[in-house]
Amino acid sequence: MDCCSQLPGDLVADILRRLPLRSLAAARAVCHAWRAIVDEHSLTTQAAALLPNHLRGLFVCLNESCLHGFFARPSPPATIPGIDLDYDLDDDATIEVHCNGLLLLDRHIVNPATRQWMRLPPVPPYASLPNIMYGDRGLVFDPAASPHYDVLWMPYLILHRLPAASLSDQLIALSK
Amino acid sequence: MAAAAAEATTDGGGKMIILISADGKRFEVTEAVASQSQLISNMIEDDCTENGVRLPNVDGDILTMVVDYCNMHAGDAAAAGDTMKASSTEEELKKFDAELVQALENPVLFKLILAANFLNIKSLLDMTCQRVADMMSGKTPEQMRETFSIENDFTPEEEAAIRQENAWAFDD
Repeated sequence: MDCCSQLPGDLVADILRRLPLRSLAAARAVCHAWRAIVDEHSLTTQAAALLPNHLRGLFVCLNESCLHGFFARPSPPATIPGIDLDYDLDDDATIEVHCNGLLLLDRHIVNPATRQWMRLPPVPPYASLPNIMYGDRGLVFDPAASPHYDVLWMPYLILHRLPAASLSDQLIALSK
Repeated sequence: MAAAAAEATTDGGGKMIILISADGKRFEVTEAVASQSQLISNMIEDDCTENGVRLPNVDGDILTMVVDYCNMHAGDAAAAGDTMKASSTEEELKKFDAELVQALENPVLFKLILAANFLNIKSLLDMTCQRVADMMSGKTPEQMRETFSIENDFTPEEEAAIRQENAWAFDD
């Protein structure tokens, strides 16, 4: 008989909040009741804020773009069959932005920790903004909250004479 | 007889309280021991312990452990007065606590948690919850289910989705 079901949710939460983050994530995968308790009390996000992230490696980026590199333990990371996970950095590739370990460089999203990468899709054409070539990109990623990320593209408005259109029209979100 | 016993006092002058378990077992303890339970401490303040304190949620065998625990820890709170009790050193207490929770089968441990929660004995609740957390720590979901006899009620698709959501936690 399932002895944990005798305990009210608050007591189970009291137990779960004592777990290290990794075990908490495992507890979340045990049964519906536990997953609901972890999510209801936002235990993973609370704990994630307190814990140092697990360090797989270190990506170093200096101003000289040719001097960056990824330093990690030599053990090969898990690979997914059929997908080439290693991204070869061009010597002149520069990191545009980075967020919580995810890099945007050379028109690619790269996760050095998992060695996964993906090329950004082309910016969709906007009828109201013809021929825009330049813009800033932003990256949003929190691996403790979700495996998904967002890339934002903000065109340089100053180069174009625009009516006072709403900014949101020109924010192009490219989701994975 | 019960009333007379409830009014009895120790040699030291502390008032005695009778605790009555769900199955009718009676435990006579000093006020200092009983007031580690916030619930009973409030009842003492409100003067409603004269005819004994009925604890319909707590079985006799669980209450035996709770009373042992409170007797052992009464030294913390009451300190100096009673040299016998106060003589249990911090190390002895730690050893006593560790042995108390380590030997317990899961169903008993969970009953003890419920009792500590009901009686509102914070240190005992803390210790028993920590014991369960220690039993879970470092285990895979499957090992946790085995430890606590929990049925996996996820579909394979749901399970895959959870692993994906917390992918950072599952190193293979």
